[in-house]
Amino acid sequence: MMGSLAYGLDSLGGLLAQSPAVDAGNAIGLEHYLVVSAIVFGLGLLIIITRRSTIAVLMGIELLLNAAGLNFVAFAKYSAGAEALDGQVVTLFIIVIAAAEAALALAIALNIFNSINSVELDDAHSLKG
Amino acid sequence: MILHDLLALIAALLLLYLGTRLVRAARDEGPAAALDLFKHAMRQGLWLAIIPALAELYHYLGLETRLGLEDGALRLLMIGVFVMLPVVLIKRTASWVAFEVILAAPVVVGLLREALSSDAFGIVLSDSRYLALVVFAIIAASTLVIRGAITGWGRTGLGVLAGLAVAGAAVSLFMVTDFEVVCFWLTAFIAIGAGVAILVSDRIVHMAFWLLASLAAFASFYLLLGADFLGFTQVLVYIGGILILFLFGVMLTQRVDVPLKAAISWRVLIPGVIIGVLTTGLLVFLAGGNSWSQKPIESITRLSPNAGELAAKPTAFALGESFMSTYILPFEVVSVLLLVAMIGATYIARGKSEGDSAGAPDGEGGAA
Repeated sequence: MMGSLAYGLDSLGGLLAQSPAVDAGNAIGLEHYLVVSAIVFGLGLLIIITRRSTIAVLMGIELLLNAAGLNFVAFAKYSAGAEALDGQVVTLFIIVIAAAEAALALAIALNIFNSINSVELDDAHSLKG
Repeated sequence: MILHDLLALIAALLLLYLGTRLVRAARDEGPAAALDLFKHAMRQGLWLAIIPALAELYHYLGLETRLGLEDGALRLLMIGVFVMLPVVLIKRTASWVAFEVILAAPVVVGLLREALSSDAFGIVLSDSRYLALVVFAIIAASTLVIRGAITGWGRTGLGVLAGLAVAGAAVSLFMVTDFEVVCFWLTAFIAIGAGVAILVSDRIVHMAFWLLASLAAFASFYLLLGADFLGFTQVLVYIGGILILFLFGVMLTQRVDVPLKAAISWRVLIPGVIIGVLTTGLLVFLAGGNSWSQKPIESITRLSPNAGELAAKPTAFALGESFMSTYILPFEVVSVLLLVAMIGATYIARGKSEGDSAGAPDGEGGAA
């Protein structure tokens, strides 16, 4: 029993070792990340468009920011002539600014709630509640 | 190409099914009911399911060779596959599960072909298409397992199917020996699936927790790209800070047990969705169709490097150095911005009466 298990693991290891290392057609490249981030960006956009709740709209904005950040990091890794860290620094700034944005926006949402007892975007239609 | 004939057939069947449902509703209950059904289906995310159908038809009609975008249909198909799962979970009807099973059928054929290592079935799959089939298998398997868990495994056929699908997915995972590829597709699946779930779920707390999954997937992406500091910062700031802030916002402003109001009026929704879909399509087209100048493949770090390949280096030290040298001005400006945001948030969120500042979100200072 143990022998057969060991044999199985051995053959599995051999299979993994003799697999082709880097296959240009199969490996994950820049376009994969760009496409994923584009899709997430589109989803965020759709959330912003189709939702009425302020908080849900803010969640959509977070998705947009994340998608943009992913692009920066992916370009920093794959793009020719890019310094690997520059893209990461920009994404760190995006994260920091997103934190500030979320705090302020939620504070505003809270204030709107205190004024008109709702956070639906359509209900907040007067400047001085 | 048998595979494409099959997928185009599925696409045509899906469109036919949609059309029949609508026509039947219009005939039985009048055009208003058909419009209502269509509206409801669209709100549940059905428009996302039409994408793969259109993509496959688009491929089948040979448009992509005429337009010069070779892998476009595959990409669109992948989008559709990712977004199908939540649709199935939401609709929870036998026809949608059947649709996923039909999608899984090509996978079985592909696996058989792999097992026999011959072109006996007349399907020649390139690596990327094979990978797409693997993703099909994983999605079909997870759908069936989740669905089986919901319905209580009562229907044995469903259980058998789920078992087969799980086995197929496991075998496929072992066949794709590149760990990085597997990690990427799993992460992409989680990121996009969670985004779709945010889009279609009707409870705001569910949305917040799906946002958690999406943010975690992005942290995983950063780690995959070799950005270790960024990945953990994402977890700390986004999941540990911003998401908690969101939950506070939800808790303080909404009745969590009440589903959200229906979407905004139909008049706003149609142009909105059209704009959203067009923007996404344009972005995907430009991102995938453009030939970016890229580094040679030898100089790209790999997740599990073999001999002669580069491994990613830790980035925290170098990041700190560049914050203190090249990026010193933005760094200082951002720190002032954070201070301003903190004071502003405290000021804005303080209640009307004195002493009522229960909602002041002051947790964002940790982001610096």
